[in-house]
Amino acid sequence: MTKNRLLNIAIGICKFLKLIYILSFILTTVIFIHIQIDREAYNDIKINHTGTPTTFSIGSNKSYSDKWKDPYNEVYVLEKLTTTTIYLIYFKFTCIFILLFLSIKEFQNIIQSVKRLDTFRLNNILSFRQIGKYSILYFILTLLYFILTFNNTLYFGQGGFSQTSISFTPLLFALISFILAEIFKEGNKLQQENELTV
Amino acid sequence: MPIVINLDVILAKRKMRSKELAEIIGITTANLSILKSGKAKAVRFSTLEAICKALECQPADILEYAKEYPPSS
Repeated sequence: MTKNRLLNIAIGICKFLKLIYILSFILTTVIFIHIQIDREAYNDIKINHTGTPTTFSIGSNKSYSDKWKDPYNEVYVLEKLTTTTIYLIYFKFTCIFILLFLSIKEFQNIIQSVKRLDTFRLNNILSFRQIGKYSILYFILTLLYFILTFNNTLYFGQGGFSQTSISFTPLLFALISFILAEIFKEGNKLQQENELTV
Repeated sequence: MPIVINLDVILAKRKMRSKELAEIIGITTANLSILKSGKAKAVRFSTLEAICKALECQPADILEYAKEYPPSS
């Protein structure tokens, strides 16, 4: 199965995603350090919170010119985020990037073993369990961030906005990963039995 | 496992080497070694038939049931 196109594409996507996560991690760290050194550089970057409750996005002043006429919105610039909030956001995002990177790495290992026709090996069971553990960690991390920021509030100099949602999707991923680990464990047992049949 | 493989004994009686038997019955020496060491989880009837044919013996000569006793405390 070394020439399987689907598996090759999947491996390629995994490599690309790993690269994206590394670059995102580096970029986040650079911005985090730069924010500490020169806060005024982020004077005109405003934080938009008009999307879904679980997301917030960063946009320039020009693109939201109509929305930002409200004087209260002048408070919500990146420069005015409190130091604690910046640290918490950095902690959350770096941990997320690391966990996603590790999960993708494990998934890539599984696909590569399938390509080598070595699907039901013991390492794949461990990989699925690791992905499950990373998903649980991801959930705990978002929960921890939710608790630490008191209902996920982004604090600015004179106020803030909050969101009250916890995503249960990582728990679903963890459940699926653990179930797959059990399926692969059964497969490993059958493979061993087959190999030990003379 | 309470099933004991007496292949070594039969091979010694027939003065035949493992490699020779493996060639006759058409399995690898590694698989024959698994069978001899008792690590095998199952034996195909076709393999058993080939072994019996090559060694001129009955399946009962090769396989033996030894009752397992629980360890005394």
